[in-house]
Amino acid sequence: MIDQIQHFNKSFNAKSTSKQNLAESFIPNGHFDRLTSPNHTIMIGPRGSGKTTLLRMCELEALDIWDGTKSDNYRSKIDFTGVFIPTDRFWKAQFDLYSEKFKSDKLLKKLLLSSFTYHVLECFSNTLIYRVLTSKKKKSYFRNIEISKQNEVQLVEYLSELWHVETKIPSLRGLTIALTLKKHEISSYLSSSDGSRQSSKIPNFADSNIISLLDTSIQIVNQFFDDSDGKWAFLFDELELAPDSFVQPLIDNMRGGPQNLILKLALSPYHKDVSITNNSYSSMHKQDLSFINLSGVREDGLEFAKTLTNNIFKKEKLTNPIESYFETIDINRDKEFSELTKNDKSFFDYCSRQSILGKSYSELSNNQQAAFRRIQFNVHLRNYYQTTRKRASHYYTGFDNICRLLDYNPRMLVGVMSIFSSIAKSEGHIKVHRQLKCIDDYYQSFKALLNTIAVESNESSLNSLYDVITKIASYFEQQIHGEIFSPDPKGTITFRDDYNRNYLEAVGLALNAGALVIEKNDTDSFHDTDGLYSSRCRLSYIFSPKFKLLTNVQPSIDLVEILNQRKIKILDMFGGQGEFKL
Amino acid sequence: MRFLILSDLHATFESSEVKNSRLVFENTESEFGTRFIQYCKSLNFHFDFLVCPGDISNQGCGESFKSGWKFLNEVSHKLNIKEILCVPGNHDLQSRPESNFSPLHTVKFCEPNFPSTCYETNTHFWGWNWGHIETENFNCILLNSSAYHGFSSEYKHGRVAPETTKQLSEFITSDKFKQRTFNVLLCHHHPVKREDIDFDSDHDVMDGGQALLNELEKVTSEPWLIIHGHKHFASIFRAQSAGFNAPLIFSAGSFSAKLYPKIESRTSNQFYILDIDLKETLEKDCLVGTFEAHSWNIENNWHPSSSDNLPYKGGFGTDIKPRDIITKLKELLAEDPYLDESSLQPIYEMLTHYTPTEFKELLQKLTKLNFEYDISDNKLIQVALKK
Repeated sequence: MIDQIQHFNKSFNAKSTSKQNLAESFIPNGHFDRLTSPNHTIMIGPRGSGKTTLLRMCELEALDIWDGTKSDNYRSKIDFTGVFIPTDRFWKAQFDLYSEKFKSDKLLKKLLLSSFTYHVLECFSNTLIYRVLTSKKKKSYFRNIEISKQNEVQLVEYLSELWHVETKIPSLRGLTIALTLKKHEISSYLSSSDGSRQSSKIPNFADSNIISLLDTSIQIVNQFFDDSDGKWAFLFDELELAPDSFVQPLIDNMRGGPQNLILKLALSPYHKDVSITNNSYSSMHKQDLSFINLSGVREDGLEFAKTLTNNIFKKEKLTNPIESYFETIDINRDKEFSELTKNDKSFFDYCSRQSILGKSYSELSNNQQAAFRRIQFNVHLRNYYQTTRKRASHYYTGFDNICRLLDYNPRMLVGVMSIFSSIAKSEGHIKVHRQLKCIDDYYQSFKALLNTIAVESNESSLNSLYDVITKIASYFEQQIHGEIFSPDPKGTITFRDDYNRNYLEAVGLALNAGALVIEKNDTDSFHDTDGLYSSRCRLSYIFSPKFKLLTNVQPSIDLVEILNQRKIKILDMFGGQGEFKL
Repeated sequence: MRFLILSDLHATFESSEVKNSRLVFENTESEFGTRFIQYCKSLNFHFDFLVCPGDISNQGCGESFKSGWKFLNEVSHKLNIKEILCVPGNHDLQSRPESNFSPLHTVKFCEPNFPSTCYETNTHFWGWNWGHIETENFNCILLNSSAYHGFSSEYKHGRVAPETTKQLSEFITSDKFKQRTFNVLLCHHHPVKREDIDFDSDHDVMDGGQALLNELEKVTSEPWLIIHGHKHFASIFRAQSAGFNAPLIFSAGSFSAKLYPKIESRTSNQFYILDIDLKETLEKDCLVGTFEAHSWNIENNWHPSSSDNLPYKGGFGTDIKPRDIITKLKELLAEDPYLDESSLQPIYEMLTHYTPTEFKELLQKLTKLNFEYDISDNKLIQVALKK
């Protein structure tokens, strides 16, 4: 029985995967090399692009238990102890609610912010436990420390005092439990408050700035670990879910911060009100921090996709070259050109003007051949869809093309390739119609997700983010399949016009969901998270089969020209975070 | 001496309208059953006996009884277990009106023979509602507590008739009953009331059960282990006794039945590994040993139990009092600011034969005497004195 995709966003979710499984299936790449450098790092990428996996693999325990072929090499190079800090999606909503409730009381607002601080400290404390753990559970004893009980008790005493917690048992485990209880105490106090201080005593809490608190804590720990230069990297995941008042200071502290404290932050491509370069004191790319951009992956993602897919197929004992399992149908350029000149007058006229009418590819000059190659897929699609088709074109099939349609997104690749491996195992190879069906299933799933994000517009046909995407996709469809043949159909959007500020939220959400993708000039092109005006975006190629679009780089058009100054407002900024079933 | 205990299977079929169990057979295969065997093999234990206190089938279905009984034999074969000790439960008999011409017919005439491989034992069992199996180290009495099902309202509860108790008493005091290190009574219904399970009156208890236990204790000096099922709620405790050696009652939870609402949050589908320490049992004249409980749920499949009823590990037969443990803890804490898993090893050894209830009593005492402790999966992880 062939497995079906159950959830669009659940085919592989690194957040819920055990460390053991994560380490077993991990494939290091260039992004991981950059992430493991001892520098502050900001990593951006849409959902499923691998941010959580990469961050979690920098965590101490994951690096310790990882026994892949390159693991020893990485362990010898990595010069910090990683502390992974997940973010809860309900935090921002709760924080915004309580912020409003406590706006007149500074102390209560500080108490509210401290709940996030204690979460970070709890993660830190858990990592301390692992570092001193002597147990069969450890594999390579990476950055292992031996500490006597007496020293541990003293360390715990210092940290408890600094963190304003009371431990029942004077051990690191007791300290972690105390932090958990403190979080609960603060949360209970806040939820029972009506906006003013309660008659019950306000809980004691650490009132310092998080960075200075962590710095002091690290210095104390390093003293007890006899490692005065010891570096600690705090790996903040999904910061788009954290309150802005917490995120911006983290980014700001990347310039001139404590030397033993490294910050590695994972963000969505768009994050309103959070800027990396907002003033002259801000951190600067390539000087204070390194930037990893997981958006807009192109052929640089193909090797990774091959390795990932090979690992999946190997589990089914399929070890042939991966491309061989995917049926492909070659495009006969000469035939396509010849047919289209017969059926499409505008293309006939174009060929006449270019003096290529009636000639085969081999009869053309070099320049003409280059132009021929540039438009060949455009020609194929236009020709193929001259008649109404039940099935999408085979242009979208074959291993390389499937990876491109999925934007080399690791999560989507795992989901789709797992299905393909079952098909390949039972049927020997994956026929074109199977490939197209699977991609269509994924598209439908993505469509359903985007339909859950409501928008408000002065145009009645725009009710959800999917409707907005459809508008853009339909415009690009017309560029290729319209009345007049265009050798350079528009296929990307820019935001230069001022009016685009009305679309920023919708575009931002589409980027974060992966429906739109930022086109980047090189592997780690920088872009700020709160402003898209200088960016160029395209639709995710997952829409291409449905809207008969190309999957290569295309010229751009301003978004205002497509949306024609319609107003669009997002009704639910947390939209698209949910999961749904096929 | 190691027992593998599976109780209350309630086997059913894919085609059945009523699916009260996870042990569902499609033809002769059950994925749940297959996974169980794989899991058991991975534990790498050698078992001496497979024990099943009944309710192999569900609602008297003859065909599912055959599949369930075949499954138990498959378990025995694949895990190299030499013998199965089994009794029927109320669900194994077609005791409801118009379901069959005899409540016992299917179970009496199935293949392999039921409840034992011995013709004489089976003849005696079906004739007198009990049978005896003698092994090298223990005597086993198989009791049919569902013997009267099919008559009036007997299906509502278990029963051991006073005459049966008298027969057993005479048999045990005869030459035919050889003295062994310990004795086992295997029955389906619980012999003593368990109002603590449903927090309600207990009407399905084995009528005559308490009298039977009293008699068994009176006529033997060797310890008794009572294994039963029926309630789908696991526990281990000593029966009421006027003597030194109260019978130990092991109440097995259900292997695969879907649990009813009142208990589903307090126990889980489980199987058990019961180890009798023959040497200690002989020396101390009391049943001494340990058990493991393994649970099933959808998220984790089979795994070491994290339920309280029963927890992953426990024991029985300790003669170490809580005050001895507390004294030892104080001694250790004089040298260390706190005790962790490594320094708690001497305590773990002392706790080996503590039942879960005895362990909870110890924890209560620790709290009263100003100890701080941290527990994970029913195991002491850290201990310190309160500041």
